[in-house]
Amino acid sequence: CSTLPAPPRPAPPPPETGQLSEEARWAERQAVIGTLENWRVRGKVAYRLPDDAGSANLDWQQTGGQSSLRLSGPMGVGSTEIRNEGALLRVKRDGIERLYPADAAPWLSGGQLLPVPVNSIQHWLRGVPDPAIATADLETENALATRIEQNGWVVEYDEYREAQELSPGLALPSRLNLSAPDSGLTLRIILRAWEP
Amino acid sequence: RSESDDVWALLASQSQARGSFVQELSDEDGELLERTRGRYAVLRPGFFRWEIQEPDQQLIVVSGTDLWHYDRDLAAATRRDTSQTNEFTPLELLAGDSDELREKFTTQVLGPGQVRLVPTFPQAGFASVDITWKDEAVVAMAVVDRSGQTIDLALTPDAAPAALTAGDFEFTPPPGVDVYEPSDY
Repeated sequence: CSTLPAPPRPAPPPPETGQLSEEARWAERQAVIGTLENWRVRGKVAYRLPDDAGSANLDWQQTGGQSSLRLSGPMGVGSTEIRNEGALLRVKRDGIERLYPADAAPWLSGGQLLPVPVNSIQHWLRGVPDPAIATADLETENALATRIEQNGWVVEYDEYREAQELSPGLALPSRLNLSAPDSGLTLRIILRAWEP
Repeated sequence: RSESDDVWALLASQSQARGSFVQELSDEDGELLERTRGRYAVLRPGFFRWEIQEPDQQLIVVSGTDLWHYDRDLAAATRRDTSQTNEFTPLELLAGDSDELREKFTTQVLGPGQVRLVPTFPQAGFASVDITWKDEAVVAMAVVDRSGQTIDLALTPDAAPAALTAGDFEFTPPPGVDVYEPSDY
């Protein structure tokens, strides 16, 4: 698949169509992304906390409003599965399942309770804001989001790639960073394979 | 000597091993989730190297109780003290001290050159591991973890492996990598 570099600086658009076309193109892109109801993406996440860090393989399956994600170590042993159930998260590890509030779930191997806005992350992974909550900041370039700030989280997009298998011609994020300043948590995410 | 003793004798006899691996992770229903390939090296006791080359780039190096996990794509490396973390991965069977390990597993012979090990200690991150060996070398490990996932590991030992030394198990994070070491290091 072709690699789009970090969103290139667009050439200065001709005055009369320039600004409108960026907004119009962004609105059109948001609509297209919004139609992706069922998708799966595999990749990796590196998490960093003031007193802990690590990385895990990420396998995120979205079916309509239902998110189910799996985090596993490099040797596959001992994974964590998380599903959203309304505002709660069902976390399964070592065969034991428990329900947690979305703002305090142990989704990392260390078991620390961390805010996991799964309902928002499923949108951020596709490069669009979560439509259900207010957007504090949105920056785009070439109709691709470069920065989204919502609910105290900052999402920065470093790279996009064409998601050939899921939707030919559609660029989706392949490298992004999430940070929640108040909890000191940063997540660096690589998305490798998008599938229907 | 019973077959089950053979597995511990075999593991003890394997002072060195190196080769390539293919690992397949499947979910509880047996559906393949991910296939990874790479290189492994073991120098007993205590030295272990696991390099994932496909579909991504990761490296795990264990020397004694020092475990480095370096993710090349994420440019992140963490160093852990294995005596602190309680996760025991099946691959430590290859590198661990087999006299010590013998006490921690019950063994069940499945067939010639194949034994099932069931951990008797809680920290084991898995429910059972079936070890298959051929010509005095471990060639397969089938792990079932506590969530019912299976990890099928095929090991292909190098034909004429060069000798390994402790130096092969040193790791220094390249410049520019985000390194994390617990503060008590």
